Amino acid sequence: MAQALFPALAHLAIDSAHAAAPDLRIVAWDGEESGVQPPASDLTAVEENSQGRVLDPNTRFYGRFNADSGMLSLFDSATGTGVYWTRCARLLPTYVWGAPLLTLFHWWGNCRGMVMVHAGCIGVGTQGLLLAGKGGSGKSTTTLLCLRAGMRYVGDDYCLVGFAPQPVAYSLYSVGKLTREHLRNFPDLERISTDPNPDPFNKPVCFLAAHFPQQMAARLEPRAILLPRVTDQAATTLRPTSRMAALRALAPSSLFQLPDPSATTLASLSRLAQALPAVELHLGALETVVPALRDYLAAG
Amino acid sequence: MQQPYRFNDSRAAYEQIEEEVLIIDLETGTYYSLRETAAALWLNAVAGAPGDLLAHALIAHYGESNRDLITHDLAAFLDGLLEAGLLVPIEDAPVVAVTWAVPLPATYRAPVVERYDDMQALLLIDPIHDVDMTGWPALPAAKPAAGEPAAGVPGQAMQRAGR
Repeated sequence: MAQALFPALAHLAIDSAHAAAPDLRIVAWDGEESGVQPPASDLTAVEENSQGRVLDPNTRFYGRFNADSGMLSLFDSATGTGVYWTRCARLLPTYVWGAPLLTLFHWWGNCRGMVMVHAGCIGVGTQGLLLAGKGGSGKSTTTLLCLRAGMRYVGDDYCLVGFAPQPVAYSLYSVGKLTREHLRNFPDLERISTDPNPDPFNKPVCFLAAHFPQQMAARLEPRAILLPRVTDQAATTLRPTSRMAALRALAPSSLFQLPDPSATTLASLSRLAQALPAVELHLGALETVVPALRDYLAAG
Repeated sequence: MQQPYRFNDSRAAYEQIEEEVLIIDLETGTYYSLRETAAALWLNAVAGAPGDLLAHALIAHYGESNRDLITHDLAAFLDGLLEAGLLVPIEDAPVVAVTWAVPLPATYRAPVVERYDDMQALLLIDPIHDVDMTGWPALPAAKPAAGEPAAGVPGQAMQRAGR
């Protein structure tokens, strides 16, 4: 189980001897490794509300079961305790290796006014840029170009965004994922990629923390939401667009990669989209992308 | 078109930013974008304005010469939203006045709902099941077939947007 869960989270590891009491404590085990089955399934109260189905009318407990991959996630929002059981971690789909415990992080963050966002985030110093868009938009390629150019890296697919009151993007996973075809543009990343259990997303995962330790950022403050577009133009250009365009890019994929898409989550995403300028990123030749983004951040 | 409506918040969510509305069907993954006339009508419909009141207001704005076209287009627009489960007819609603929070275009243009189905594939990968009274792991009686397309939405006002 450790091999499946920990590499993506390696950049967030701390010395437990000096750690304060955790805000989130997760008990995780593998049914096959341990021989221990999930907790008893007697449920006496089930109620469905706008946050999704919960186990308790007071909306304290959350529970989800992923059928095909065999994962059970439980969360107690009052104590900040999560339970994660998997039937067999070594057989988990590759996309789970790249985003372990996503459901628990989503619930925990949601209870604290944060929103799980399907977006990449890179930056310079403390300032970042969110990259939003569905598969094929160039989001992951752009974030990995930035990583390889020495920029700071929060993630390529998911981050937790809080409002303090301006948006802050918190890193969850130090991974990069690209299709095999696009990985060929990055031989160094292709060499460190792995695809433990191929899944419908068909994207090998690169665990980046060990290879780019100085660039892993625990948090960045986004200055804009960029909407990548692959073009055939030579140079990379940026053009302002509507905040609704940013919400259209963020909301559907953010909502439907979570177990309980809700109006509350949509409202948080809308808050994010309205807090930052939205910019279309028209991607030109690969070597023009990073300079364009550095120039945009430097312009202030 | 005399019945008022309410937004079906048990199934969908929507947000307005400036002059556009985004509606997301939380059950199917389908999402819809409304602008101009469509956005303006939507905001009034979910506030309880019945179809005949909306028609009267649009005709008053654009003139009698557009009556037949407006009546036809509005009926198709509202029928499409009802069919999609985004609006629900209700028996009674407080009397409301139609206001144009989103400005109408200078020249009449039919309300258009841009529909996007590209997120539905995500719902078919590794289905997630809520825990229920039978506990876990309990599989549902039937699983959706991979690649099953979204149900079509009738009405000329609905356009299927490209992926």
